[in-house]
Amino acid sequence: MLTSILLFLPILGGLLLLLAKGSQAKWISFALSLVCGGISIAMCAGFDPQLGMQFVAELPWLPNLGISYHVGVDGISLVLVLLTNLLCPVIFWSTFKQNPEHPGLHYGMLLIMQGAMTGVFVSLDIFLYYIFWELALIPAYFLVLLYGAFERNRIAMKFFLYTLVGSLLMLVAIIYLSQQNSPASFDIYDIYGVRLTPNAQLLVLLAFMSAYAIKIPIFPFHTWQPDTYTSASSGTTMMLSGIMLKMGLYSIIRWVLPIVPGAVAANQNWMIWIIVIGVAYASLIAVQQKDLKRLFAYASIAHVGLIAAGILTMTESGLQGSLLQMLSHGINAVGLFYVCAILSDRKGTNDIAALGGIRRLAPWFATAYFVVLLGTVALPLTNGFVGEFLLLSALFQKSWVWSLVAGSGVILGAVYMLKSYQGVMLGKENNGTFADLDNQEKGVFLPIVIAIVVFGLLPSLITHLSGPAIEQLLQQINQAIQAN
Amino acid sequence: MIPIIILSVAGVLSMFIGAFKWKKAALPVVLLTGLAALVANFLPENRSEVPQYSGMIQFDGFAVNFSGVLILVTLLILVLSRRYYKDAAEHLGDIYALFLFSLVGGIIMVASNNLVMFFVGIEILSIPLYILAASERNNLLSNEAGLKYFLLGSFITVFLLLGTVLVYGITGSFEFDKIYAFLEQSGGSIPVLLRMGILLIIITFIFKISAAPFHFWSPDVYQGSPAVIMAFMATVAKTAAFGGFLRFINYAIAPVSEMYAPIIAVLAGLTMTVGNLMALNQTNLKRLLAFSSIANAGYVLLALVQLGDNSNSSVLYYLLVYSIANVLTIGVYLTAKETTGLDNIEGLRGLYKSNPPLAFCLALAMLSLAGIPPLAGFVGKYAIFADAMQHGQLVLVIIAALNSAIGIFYYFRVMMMAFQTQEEFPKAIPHVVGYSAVLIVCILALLGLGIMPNLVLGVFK
Repeated sequence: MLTSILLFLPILGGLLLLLAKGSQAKWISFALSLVCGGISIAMCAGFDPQLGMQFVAELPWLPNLGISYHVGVDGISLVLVLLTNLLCPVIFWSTFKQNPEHPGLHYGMLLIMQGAMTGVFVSLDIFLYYIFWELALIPAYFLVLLYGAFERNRIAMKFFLYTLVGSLLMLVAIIYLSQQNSPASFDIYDIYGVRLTPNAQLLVLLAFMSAYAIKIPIFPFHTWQPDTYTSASSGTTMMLSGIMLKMGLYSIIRWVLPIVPGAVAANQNWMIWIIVIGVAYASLIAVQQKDLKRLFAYASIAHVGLIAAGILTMTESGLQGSLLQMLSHGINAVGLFYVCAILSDRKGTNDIAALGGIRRLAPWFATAYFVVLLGTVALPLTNGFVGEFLLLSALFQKSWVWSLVAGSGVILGAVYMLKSYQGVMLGKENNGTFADLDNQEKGVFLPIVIAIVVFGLLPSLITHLSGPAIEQLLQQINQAIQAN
Repeated sequence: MIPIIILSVAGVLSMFIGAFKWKKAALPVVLLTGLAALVANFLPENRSEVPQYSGMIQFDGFAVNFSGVLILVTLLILVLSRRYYKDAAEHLGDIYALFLFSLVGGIIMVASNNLVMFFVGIEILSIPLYILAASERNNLLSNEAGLKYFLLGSFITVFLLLGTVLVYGITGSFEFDKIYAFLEQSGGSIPVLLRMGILLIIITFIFKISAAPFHFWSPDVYQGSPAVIMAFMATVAKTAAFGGFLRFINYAIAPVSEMYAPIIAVLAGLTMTVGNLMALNQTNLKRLLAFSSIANAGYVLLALVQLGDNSNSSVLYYLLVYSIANVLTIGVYLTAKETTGLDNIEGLRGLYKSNPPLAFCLALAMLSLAGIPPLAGFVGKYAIFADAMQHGQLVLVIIAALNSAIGIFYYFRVMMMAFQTQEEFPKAIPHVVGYSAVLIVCILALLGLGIMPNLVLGVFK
């Protein structure tokens, strides 16, 4: 029941807001997202990690096609549900100042996106999952199209087309998988039960990964991402980088690994090679960037690449690390892009060269930015550290070369983050004034900073939720590989 | 049979109303009789599982459901036409009569059980359309459309007649069930002339559904015809043609599927690719919709390659949803055209800013045509893809999936135009009664059928 409320409250609320006018829209959306945040915490409190799927709701929907409304959470999806529903209020709150045109449309779209993304994380029917997967894309498209900064027609179109091509190939694979049962069934347990020949496994793997590699995005499928992140308004960028790309990472864990474990094991090698090279490549590009937002966009490619590589190792530390890192990347990305939003709000630019010396004028801002930065470069005792450590060690277990290449990305990460901080906050002041954070802005940074510190000190908050689920998943994978 | 009678009488009535110049009465009379026909269509008295009237016509579930869609969509278009013909048309009564006669032809097509009846149906459907296409007499393009449609349409009729004659000559019967029985007995060894006959009949359908390589008429005809007529052609005429095609395959030539399946498979792939690629660069909205309708014909053909248990319902669902999305688009286009006078998609620029509800209508129509969940268009595509996949058409399904991605490009280009917020769209003219009602019905249908597709997908169960 709670899961269904979490799904439909924001979607229906968002649809109603689309039709509404006036400035109440932002308050309504904020209140709804807070309610969802509360529900997700309540689910957390009532969740027993040892029990597998919980808060399950199952209703027949299209029984003749083998499709049902089947939702629920286990330890893995709960982490993502928590991330989505706790970040959304922060993101909504952060956009209040910008007073977007047509507030009903803006906040309605954001709410629909929140509900749809939650839907991706809780769906236990692969057809339902696909519907939410696409549904999340429509509001994102409109947000990029209507609230983008430059070249928004081209960028919105590229973003949508690119992600949709991958999704359509995934759809073909989904239809294929469902028809391996007779009668056709889309239920997760029936899909998990499908036994495929190695060739079919490879094709299904490629079809699924084409959707996820684009969504995440993994090098070399990332070309839509920097433009989209840079052009989109800060709220949209936060939704995209903070939460939406986790849909792809989560989906690899939820669908790819259990369905085609054999093909993943067989093709792990080259996939991880591509990904870790992409990590180093994106970091190298990030170092060169002159625009802060674009820099963070490339940094994001590097970070999520590492997560994807960790997932594909199919080891316990890889999966555990990926979950931790998804959570902390979400939190940090929101922080970083909020920094961009404040800078462009005050100074009208994100060009690093045009900024400088802000630290002395705005100590609160400087501190908040610095904490987020430390989390991003994975300093010990911040949230980024444990996850990144686990991911690198998972790569190391498989091959030291991978961890070396990916590790160079991490080191470069420190380089470009600190360099950007230096350029923006330190050095000579460029033309004068910079107001420090006001209470509303502190209200955005406060939960982020708290989360960075708390998850840095107590990663067990997350690992104790997801640990049993990951163990069970790995068991299932190993059985499936042996059975082949 | 009851709806055919009601609609024919209504057509004649409408002509009389025109003759007596009671312009105002024409539409209400036509709509009321149309509604009566829709209700009568689903009455048990209308149904019969055996062929009636010397084996000419058979109102089984298939015919009833397809006729239902035909009548419903025609009604929607007729209500919309009120906006289009607000002040213009002198011969309103005649125009409505032609609409109804054409609809009768469509119903005969989807209900016929006999090749001769079938021919009669196609002609009753087409001849009013030739006139309607040219009904804007002062518009050169409209005249061109009428002439082109007429010449090509009557040329293709010859194919149908020759095919019918050949089939009759070999099998000795015009009736579908006798042809079916003959083909079943022949067990694969079919005379060449019979093959020729079947092929010629299939070509007629390929032309009527405007599938490649017989699609060249449709962009010009759609562009030239008045907008509501174009909507009628793209929806009702196409649904009727597909219904007839499906019926012919189902009831007559199903036993020789290995003969026609490869042809349809190739044409399906070709049609969707040609339609989508050609649509990419279109700026005229009607022309764009014409190519979109070609592309959609390709998707539906995919379902006809190998018929299964679900084929009828998926095709019916797909055509219904596609028709509704088209009606919705034309509805929005009517307003844009009226306010800006522009025929191309530029005319939609900035629609969102001055008239958000209309922009949302357009967005929903485009999203549905593009096949984005949770709108009905997605389920339609899904049903057809899944069907085809079940019959081993993996390659075709992948081609179709990639084609849907191409489709996004032009559907979204239209939608983007409406959401350009820099420019102001002129304030729209106040709505005519019924216009908003049609748009609302269409929106509810697109959303409702997307969430509860079983309302239609389940009708054959």
